[in-house]
Amino acid sequence: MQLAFGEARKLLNRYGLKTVRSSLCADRLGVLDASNRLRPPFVLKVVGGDVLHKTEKSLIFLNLESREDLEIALRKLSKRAKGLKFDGFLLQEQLKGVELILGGSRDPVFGPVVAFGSGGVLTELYKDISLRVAPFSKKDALEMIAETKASAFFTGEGFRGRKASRDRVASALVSLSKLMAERGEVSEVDLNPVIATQEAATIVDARVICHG
Amino acid sequence: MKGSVFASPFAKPFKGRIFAVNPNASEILGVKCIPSVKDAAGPVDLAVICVPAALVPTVLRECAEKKVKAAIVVSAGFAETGPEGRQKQEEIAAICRNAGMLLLGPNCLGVLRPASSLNASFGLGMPPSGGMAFVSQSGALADSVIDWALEQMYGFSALVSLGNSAGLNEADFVDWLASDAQTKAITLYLEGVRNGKAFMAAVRKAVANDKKVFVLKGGREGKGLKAVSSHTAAMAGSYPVFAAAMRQCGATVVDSLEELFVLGDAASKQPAARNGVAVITNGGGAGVLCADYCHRYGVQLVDLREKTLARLDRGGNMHSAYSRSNPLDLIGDALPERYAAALETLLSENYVHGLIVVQTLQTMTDSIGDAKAVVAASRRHPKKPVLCVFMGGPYSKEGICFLHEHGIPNFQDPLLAVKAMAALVGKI
Repeated sequence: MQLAFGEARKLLNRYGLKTVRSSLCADRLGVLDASNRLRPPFVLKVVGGDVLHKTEKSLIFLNLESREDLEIALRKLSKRAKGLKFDGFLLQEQLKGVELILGGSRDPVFGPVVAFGSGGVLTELYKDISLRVAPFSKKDALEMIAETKASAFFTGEGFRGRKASRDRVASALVSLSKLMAERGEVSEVDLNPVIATQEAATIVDARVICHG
Repeated sequence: MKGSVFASPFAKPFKGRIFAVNPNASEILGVKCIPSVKDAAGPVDLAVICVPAALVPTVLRECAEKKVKAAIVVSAGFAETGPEGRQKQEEIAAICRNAGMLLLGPNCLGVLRPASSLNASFGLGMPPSGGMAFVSQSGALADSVIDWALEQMYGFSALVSLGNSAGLNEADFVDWLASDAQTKAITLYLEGVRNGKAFMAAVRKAVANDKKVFVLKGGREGKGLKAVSSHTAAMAGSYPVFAAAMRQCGATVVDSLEELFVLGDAASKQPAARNGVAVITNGGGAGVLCADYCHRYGVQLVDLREKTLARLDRGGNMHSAYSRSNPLDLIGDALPERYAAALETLLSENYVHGLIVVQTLQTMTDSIGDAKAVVAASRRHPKKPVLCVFMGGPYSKEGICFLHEHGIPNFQDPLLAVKAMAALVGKI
């Protein structure tokens, strides 16, 4: 059973994992109202229920700056999501930074496992993933980062001008490993993407699956 | 059980007392039989059981009555045959558990402990005694490895065939080997691990006790791959988790049987060290390959300092065109004196933590002389690993044998030498 957006966020926050500033809205008016409290540019997407791969189904809009942008996006999303079961519209502040993926799962032999890699839609193509059995220390988390090509983003000069805080990402990995080790009911966590900057590692999208 | 605990033409006799148990025979391989283990005079440490599967429970009950400490059930016909066999296996496991008797097997080759000339197995030969332990989930593999070891001069502290692991399993043996004084390196062939956390704890204990652990996993591909998340399902199956878990607790994951034993042998004979090594060679190509592989596996080739080069120059043994850098190319006409000077100079430097010594075969090459120089230098610097790549066949054989006999691993291919060094400096 997948946790609803609000519950997932609460669980992640409890373990010190930072989630992007956002608002789950039931309808158009809710979105427009929330846009006054958040800082543009926005991301608007349809969440919950049948929605898994948002990019492929075009259930996500980026770079929304104004009220007009939001109105257009809302119209299109409503049309595309017709017939799908979903919880509502999620309005988020759009972050710029390095796209990463953090995941948690349960291995039948070793128990809780945490995965780290480069994020975004090409994750599956590049298979740039490192794994550790949870829980683990910050030292393990740093090694995990070093094993992947994403480590280029954490070096002194970054990669093509993109740079992020190794320390914040390592802390997020340790937090996720703690969550996986302590919360036996959580069978799967998919944090994709996590946007890392020099100040923070922020979860933009999260899927948390629990037993039963 | 010919060739096992009883006299074998390949092994020294076992010093302990042995009873042959069989109600129908008067003697087995020249040893007089008693009808039941209960008839043995005095306590019994270990029973090796190789009767048909149907009789195993009865025999184990007799062992339990006799208060035998441990039993190895060689017999097949248990869980590996299906549900009925599985039930029978549970029965024998329960007998042992209730009696507090350790159980290895069923369906296993047994245990060999070369230093005690104990061959509690149906393996034919007894490999030389040494510092490498081998734990295998395949009995047939263990049997072949013994034969191979005799040929390769690999020395073993213990060989264990786990069989169906109804009692003792891989974690129990690694945990025991972790505090076994004879064992310097542990090699494992595994197809599955029962309890991941227990196994990791055992490996951690071994690593903490300065024993290198090498693991080869069979059955990597196939169904039942467990997803790490819906996105990583295709990439993070159970083998990647296994490999990551092994690295996490300090074990080295290898890809082939050859690697398993070549690296295990090297780690059982040479000490672990900090990263930062030098390569000495008498041929450019082999040095270049070493340097390539060092880069690939994260083995750091140190920069030779001016004072080191000055010492080499002052010694008067170097060729005028020697490379003056790492790899240190001594030039093709290098004789044992030049090798000896280079070995001693580099090993005396506190920033050189280990050496790979390459010898290609050239007209002047004195293989046995070079081997003696390596052994002598290594003895003076026992805390620094020295690995050799004496490449060649009949012309180099004497030197290579001398190296083997004196605990210096030799490799035909620089790739394996570098991998072994990578393991010793903790990079793989």
